[in-house]
Amino acid sequence: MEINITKTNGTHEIFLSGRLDITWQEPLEKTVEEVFDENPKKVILNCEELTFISSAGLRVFMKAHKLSSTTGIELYIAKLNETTKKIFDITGYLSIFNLID
Amino acid sequence: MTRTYNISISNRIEETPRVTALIENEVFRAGFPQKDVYDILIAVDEILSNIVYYAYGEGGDGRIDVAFLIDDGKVELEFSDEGVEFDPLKKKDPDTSVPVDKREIGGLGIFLVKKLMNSVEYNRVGQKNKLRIIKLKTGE
Repeated sequence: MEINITKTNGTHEIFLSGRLDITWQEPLEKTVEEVFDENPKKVILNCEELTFISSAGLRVFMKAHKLSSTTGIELYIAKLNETTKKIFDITGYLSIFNLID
Repeated sequence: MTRTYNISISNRIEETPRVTALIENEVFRAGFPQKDVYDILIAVDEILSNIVYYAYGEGGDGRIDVAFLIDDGKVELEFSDEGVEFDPLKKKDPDTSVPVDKREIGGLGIFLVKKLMNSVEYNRVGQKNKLRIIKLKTGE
């Protein structure tokens, strides 16, 4: 997969593209931590190009959720597609995140 | 027509893409819809991660054998390891009515496998853990 980040006016957007499987759990977790460390107002995980996600990926999203709760930095998940949304839905993860289109 | 495949890897995360790449190519080539391919790849990722992290203890060397067959209507995969006896199906399903951040940790991966596959079966055979999963082709 690929991870790209844009930073504008206190909003840091992480663009995920490809497959978020076990091989990417650690690298992405590190990226998420770094982004929260920079203390933006808002973090967006953009999933438009994310083709699938396994529980390894869900754990990173959970990590981001916890970081958001402890720091007060807003967290949004953007543009989940049908495949990735299904995984969030089955596991009950859909309801805890702020989703945007 | 039925095709069968075997692939073995050592129990390291960086080895798992060899298995997923082979399965993806062959299942797609056999004409399964993309969503079935993704369901299978997610299940494979969950099962291989479990084996890598838990079967041989931390830092322990071991092997993972994956055998699979593809026919017109289904994909059957069997994962074998010689690690500690572990039946993932005994793990209680996460309570999805409890908010995610208040749930007990663990069990999410195998829960997904059960949800995405049509059948999941565990057997201890001699010194081996064998987990067999079946995915039926989704109708058009």
